[in-house]
Amino acid sequence: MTRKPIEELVIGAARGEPMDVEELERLRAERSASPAVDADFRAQEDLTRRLATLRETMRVPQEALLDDERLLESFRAAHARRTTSRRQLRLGIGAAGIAAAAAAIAIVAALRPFDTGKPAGTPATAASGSLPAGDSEDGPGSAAVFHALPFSPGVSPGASYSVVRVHIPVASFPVVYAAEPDASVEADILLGPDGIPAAIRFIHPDQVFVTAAVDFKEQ
Amino acid sequence: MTATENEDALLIRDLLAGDEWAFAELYRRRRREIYRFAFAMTRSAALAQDVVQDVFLRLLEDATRFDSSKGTVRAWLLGCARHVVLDRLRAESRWTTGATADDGPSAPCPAEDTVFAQQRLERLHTEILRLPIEYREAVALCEIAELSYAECAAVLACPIGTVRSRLHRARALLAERLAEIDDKETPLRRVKEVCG
Repeated sequence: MTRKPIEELVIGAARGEPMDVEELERLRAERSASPAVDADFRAQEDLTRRLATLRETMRVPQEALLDDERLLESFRAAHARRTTSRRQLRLGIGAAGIAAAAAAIAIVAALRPFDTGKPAGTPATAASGSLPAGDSEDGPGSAAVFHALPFSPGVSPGASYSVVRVHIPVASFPVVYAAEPDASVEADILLGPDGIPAAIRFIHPDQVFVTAAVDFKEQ
Repeated sequence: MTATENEDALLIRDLLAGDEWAFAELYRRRRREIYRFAFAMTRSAALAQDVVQDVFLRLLEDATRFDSSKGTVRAWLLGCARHVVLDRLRAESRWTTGATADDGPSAPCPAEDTVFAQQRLERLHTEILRLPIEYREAVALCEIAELSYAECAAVLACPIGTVRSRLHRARALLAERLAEIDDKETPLRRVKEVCG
């Protein structure tokens, strides 16, 4: 173990830092043997006292203290901002997930009619008309299943979810050419207990698929 | 980590969850150290007050960045205070010692001994402000804010040995300069004492 320089021992002792017996003995011996070391030690002790006094005089002026109400107002405002931005972030992630899922479904769907041998020129309305009337009002057809959204925490069987029905503008599907940009498709969004969208299902998947296929072909 | 430091970390966790009391309590606990540090670095009461408020307003926005594995809440807050102080010093070009003292409202005329004691403290503070900025930070953090070497190293983002050597050099310089000033002042004071 290397020995500390005497200057370090002097300052350490003057600051009241813990020292071992060997170091204390050495400091005592050096102070006795050298008036310069002793003077340094006294100067450092004096400096410690002065610094302590200076520290004590540095009191926060009363007018500098934020009163509780002002402080708490700032806190409430910041907390509200933080909560809002967190919610926006979640919704942003959810929206991105919905768009990505919709795009993925549309791509798959665009190719499906050709695989199944369904006529490519079938109008969208015909497909939608083929669904039972009750489906459009009360619930989805048997083909409509929830698709987990990318970046979402996933769907757990034990958790409770709420379903929100939305109309998604066709124009928001980035990979689908929309003949009618103002048109929209109906979908159910599965919201988790934390408010994050977890899954999506299209109410009339055939309508989406066929529309996509037609538009894809026409394009 | 001591019990107090542990409590500080819990207060950060609670304030992030929206607990108003936790924020107010952390403010009450730590505002003095931050003020002292800022005042030691600048000798401006107004600036030190601004620093305290800035630090706690930043805390409201950035509390999620606190990582207890990297250091204590106290060191983290003083690290924020250090950045605010350095920014202000840069903005106000107070790197040199030309700054005039701004010690707040003046007190009524005190007794002569009190004046001398006050002058001695002001000289000490002036000498602290004359130190190179790295030494000044070490004195303000270790001696005025009473941080340990380890905490100070976390604030300054440098090794403990560097903190120790900066502080020791700073103290050696301060002791030397104060001794010179005291040598000049002592005969004057003796004359005053004898002549009244």
